[in-house]
Amino acid sequence: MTWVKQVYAFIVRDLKIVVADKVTLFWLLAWPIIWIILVAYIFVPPGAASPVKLVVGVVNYDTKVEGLNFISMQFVEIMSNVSYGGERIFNVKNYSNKVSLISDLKKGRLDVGIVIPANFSFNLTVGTARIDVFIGARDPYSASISYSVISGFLNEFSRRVGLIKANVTLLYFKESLKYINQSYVLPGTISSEFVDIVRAYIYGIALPLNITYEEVKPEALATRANIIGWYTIGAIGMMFLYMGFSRGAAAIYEEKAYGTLRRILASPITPRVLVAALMLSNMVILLVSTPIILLAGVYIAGANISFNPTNLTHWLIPLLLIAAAYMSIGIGLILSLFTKTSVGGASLGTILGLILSFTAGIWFPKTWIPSWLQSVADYFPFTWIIDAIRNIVIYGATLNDIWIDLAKILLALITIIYVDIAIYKVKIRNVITSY
Amino acid sequence: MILVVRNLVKYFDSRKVLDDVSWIVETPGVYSLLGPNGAGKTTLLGIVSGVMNFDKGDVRVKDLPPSDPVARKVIGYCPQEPGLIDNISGYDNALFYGRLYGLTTNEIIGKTRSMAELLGLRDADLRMRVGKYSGGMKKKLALVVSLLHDPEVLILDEPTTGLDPGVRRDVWDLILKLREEGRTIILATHYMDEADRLSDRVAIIDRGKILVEGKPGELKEKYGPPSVVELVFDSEVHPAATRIIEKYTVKNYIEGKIARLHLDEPDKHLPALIGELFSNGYHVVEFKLTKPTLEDVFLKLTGKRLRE
Repeated sequence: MTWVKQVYAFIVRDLKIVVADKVTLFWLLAWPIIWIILVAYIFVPPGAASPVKLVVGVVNYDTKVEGLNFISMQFVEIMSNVSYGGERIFNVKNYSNKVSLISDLKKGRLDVGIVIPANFSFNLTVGTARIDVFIGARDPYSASISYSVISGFLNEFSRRVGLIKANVTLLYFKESLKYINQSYVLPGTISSEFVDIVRAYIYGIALPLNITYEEVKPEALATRANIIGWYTIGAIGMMFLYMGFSRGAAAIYEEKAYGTLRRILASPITPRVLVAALMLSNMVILLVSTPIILLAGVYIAGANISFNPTNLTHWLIPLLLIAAAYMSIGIGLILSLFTKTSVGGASLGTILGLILSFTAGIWFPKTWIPSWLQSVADYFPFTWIIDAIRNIVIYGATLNDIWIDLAKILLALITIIYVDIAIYKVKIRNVITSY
Repeated sequence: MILVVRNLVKYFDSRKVLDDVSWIVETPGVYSLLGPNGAGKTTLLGIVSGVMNFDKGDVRVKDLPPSDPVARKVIGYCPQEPGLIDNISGYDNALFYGRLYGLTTNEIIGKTRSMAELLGLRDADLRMRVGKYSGGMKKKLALVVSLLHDPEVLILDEPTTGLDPGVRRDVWDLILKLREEGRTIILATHYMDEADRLSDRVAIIDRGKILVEGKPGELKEKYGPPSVVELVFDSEVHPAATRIIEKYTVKNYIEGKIARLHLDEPDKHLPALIGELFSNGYHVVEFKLTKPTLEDVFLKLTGKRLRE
């Protein structure tokens, strides 16, 4: 079994070269781990899973509030005390005038500005009170979030005030019935039934929809640890893409660059075993790096990645990782068609791998990219593998849920293997035999 | 037959680099391919070792085409560039290449250690990253790696180029030892003294053709000039002095203070030459009649020097 020893020779040699080469180690391990740490401590820092907090500036011009049941100061107090999941949502700052409030909004110091006009309390008690809301923007995404949160609060506040006013109205209505001729009451109803009908109607005016909210988001995305888990798998996918592509594209040419190809070709190794050995050694490099990145994700960044050995579906993950390693290197071999040197192959592979990492739903969620670009993710077989892994470890998918994806992945793998064999026949073998 | 090369033709694009080359090696020994850079030595050895293909002709090593895995096990090939990986140790390089021949780890380590010792490489050197090696150490390890599988035929492409005299001597000693063991060594070189000293037979190659082939003594006798004179001047030979020399000689080559001359009738021409040089102010401080070398043979056959 000389060919086994020959393949083993390449695997051991390439692992040793990688361990001794700081640049390769950086791209293989440090780069993905840096990204995981960035996610863990900068983009999703501790506490990031808690609700959005808005800094709200308030200018209160409503100063004449004597003798009223509800005053504008109470509105501000209620806003300050609003909480979600045990944490306050609004950090309220008082301003003396609208000019300074708008100035701070423009400087990005506030998310929202609220101007309470004069007579707010009076109008709220006896009619409709005006309130002016200004939405700031501290980054490209915050305006829409601020708008949603503050409008949600104000709508809820509005509904509750409406309900209180309905209750007060009903109280007066009930009392006034005593002085009304019973013949004016709805025909065929007694007084108490009439009150119930009017109460329901007035409640309906104040509260036309009785809405219930319940969170059913996946457990895996409910905590910071699980979000980091999502990105840890993304980091592995990203590394597979740029390393697999570049190593696959440069593998043969690298032997020329090392000056080793002549000696290798003079040995009894056949061209077919040589190509298989290069593919396998690169797959091993990617797969050996995977647990290190996973461990860094778990122990340095605090990722939660669940692997349950008693769950048979979870045993698909190693197979999917092997498939991902082959697929990235196999596509890299296809890229070697467009290059003639190891540097050219490595550069092309790295650039294409990084671009696809960011645009094909590997590192950033698909929903973040424009819809026309989402089709890249939809038709890129490598994304199917990463999605399948995430579906298993994050959403708890079973074999039944993902068998169609697995079939698609298998089909893509077979296609890539056939394309690789064709490329071997038309190009790689020539590079080797016509040295 | 150990090696048979028949009517070999090789093109690089449209350039013919080997032109109807035939060469036969029948018995073990040292066989040198002597020629200047670009003569086609590396290409010929590349084809014989199975690394390169060819356009026409036939090549057999032990009656097998060099591409045959069995033939490749017979051959040990040491290319001009060492083909070693700088990032890993000497042992790791040896393990990699040894495994390609199906050897076990123990066999490779044992063989590497013993062969390296012969060339003066220590165990500590072998544990070191090859990137820290000197050029000489790399050449030595390259030779060791080529010998791991005990090849019957060892193909060495310019094994001593760029080495200092001490290392060069170590490599020569190893080649002679391997010859004593009954192996066949095919050696490409552009060093005349190397070919002369080591070879049982020499093939002189230039511009893709083997010009002559035979024992070094036979070649010198048959193709060498009748007499060779070496003049040593008191300073670097002046171009005007060169023109005077050319009047009296059939062929000559001049390097620094030394002029090596092929003369038809030295008794008649030498006194006249020295007299004319002297009268023109060019002082010869030493002269000697020497035997022709392979360099002289090459000069006579091609009109140029080996290192041109």
